[in-house]
Amino acid sequence: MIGVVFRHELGRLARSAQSWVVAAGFAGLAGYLLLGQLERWIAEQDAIRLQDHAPGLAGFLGVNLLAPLAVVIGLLAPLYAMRAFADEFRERTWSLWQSSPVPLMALVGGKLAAVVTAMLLPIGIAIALVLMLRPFTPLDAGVVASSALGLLLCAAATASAGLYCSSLVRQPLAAAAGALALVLWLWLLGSLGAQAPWARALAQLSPGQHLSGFFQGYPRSADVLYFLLFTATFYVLTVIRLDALRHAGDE
Amino acid sequence: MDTRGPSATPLLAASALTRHLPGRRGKARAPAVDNLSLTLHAGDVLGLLGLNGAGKSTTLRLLSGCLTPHAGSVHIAGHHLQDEPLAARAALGYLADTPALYDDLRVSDQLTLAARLRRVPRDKIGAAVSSAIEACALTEVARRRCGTLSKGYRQRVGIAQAIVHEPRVLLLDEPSSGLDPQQLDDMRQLVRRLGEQRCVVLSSHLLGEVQACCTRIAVLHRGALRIDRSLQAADDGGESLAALFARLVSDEVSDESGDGEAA
Repeated sequence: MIGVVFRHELGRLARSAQSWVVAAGFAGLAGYLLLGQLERWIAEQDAIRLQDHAPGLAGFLGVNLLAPLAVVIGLLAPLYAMRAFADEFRERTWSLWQSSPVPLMALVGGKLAAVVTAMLLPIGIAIALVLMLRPFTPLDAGVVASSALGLLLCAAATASAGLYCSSLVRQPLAAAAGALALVLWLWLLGSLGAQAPWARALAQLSPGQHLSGFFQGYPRSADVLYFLLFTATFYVLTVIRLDALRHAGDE
Repeated sequence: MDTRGPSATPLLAASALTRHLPGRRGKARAPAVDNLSLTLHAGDVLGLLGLNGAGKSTTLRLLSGCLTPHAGSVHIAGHHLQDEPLAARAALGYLADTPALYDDLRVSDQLTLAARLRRVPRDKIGAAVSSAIEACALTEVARRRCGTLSKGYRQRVGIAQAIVHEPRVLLLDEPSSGLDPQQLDDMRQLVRRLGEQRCVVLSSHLLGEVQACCTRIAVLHRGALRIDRSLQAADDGGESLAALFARLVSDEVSDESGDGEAA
């Protein structure tokens, strides 16, 4: 059943002009940033050569291009997820799902998988931009692969938060605004002063604190676990919220 | 009189179903559906009659599982709707007051989606969709997108969506809404035909519609079931359906004016 939900939701995303416009905008931004970083790489060659463990181009672009793009992807995922449930409530199609023998876990899982699959387009664009340089210079495949994993996990986590916000309201834009505010707030937790223990603990909730390893080519299992837990938390919250709709009687 | 005997398992059994309206803090919550019990077997076509706000749509939402009752229980084809929701929902088809259609899907794709969601075996989906399209006279619009259809066609697609998996229990909320006279006649014939092998509950506030296609009638008033009898018995009874309906309306009006004077 999860496959039926997945295909339906992915089809809706593919038919939506918004998905393609967002991806095109992202491609333009990523290309612009890539050119800037390549110029910087060439200009700073002498300084880079003098560093201990000087990074290769893949390592340089991972930290200076893909890490900033992870923030953008984290903010894009809620835009892809905003219609998932809010549109069902607004267009009065929710009764089809409520009266069908579809478990809520499969429904939310199918929609989440579809949004993450749609996010493969911007993630693929970011990675393809880096791989385009392969004919001209050697690239560390391990760094590129771990960066792709980081982008994917970040997209899944914020898409999950976006789905939850989408289940709370009838207006997709309100869902997107709520999810963006939530993701930004979590991200800013990472910039709290790290003096007090409570501040350090709160900062660990920020996705930004768990991404750097992926772009340096050294992903930690704790960071992978963080993103999986983040995704699972909002997945479960969405299931609980949708189940509560039957009791509350509104949508 | 029911001649099926006590051993016949009802297709739809609702027992003491109660659902309150959301109340303000500190105030008593009025019941939208109050202690409603129903039992339907194959062949029953029940017309749920009532004035606007009588609780017809809420009752159908409770029977379809879209809403959880505050008290009471529903069994669909022997499955408890709360304890075995997937098995129960697989046996029912539901047309909501607004048909649940995706504007960007073609009619045939919409019905295919509904068939998949209702667990029609993959190799039978094509035949099920064709059968539903034919039953609801949708052949000429099968390739059109739902968003471009008139209200009457949307209603028919909604009915086709509810019957595509050949459910044993069919719940139709105001199925005649938006239909022209010819479509109305077709819909009545369709409901009668569907009711031959399954049980159908349809809601309406039009007495003539219920009399035209139902075998049983239930009158809801302020959430409570005032009458539940076969149409034959209703016709033979002392007070005609029309008179009963008129009395309910006058009760409503006099209660409202009484409230107004008291205020």
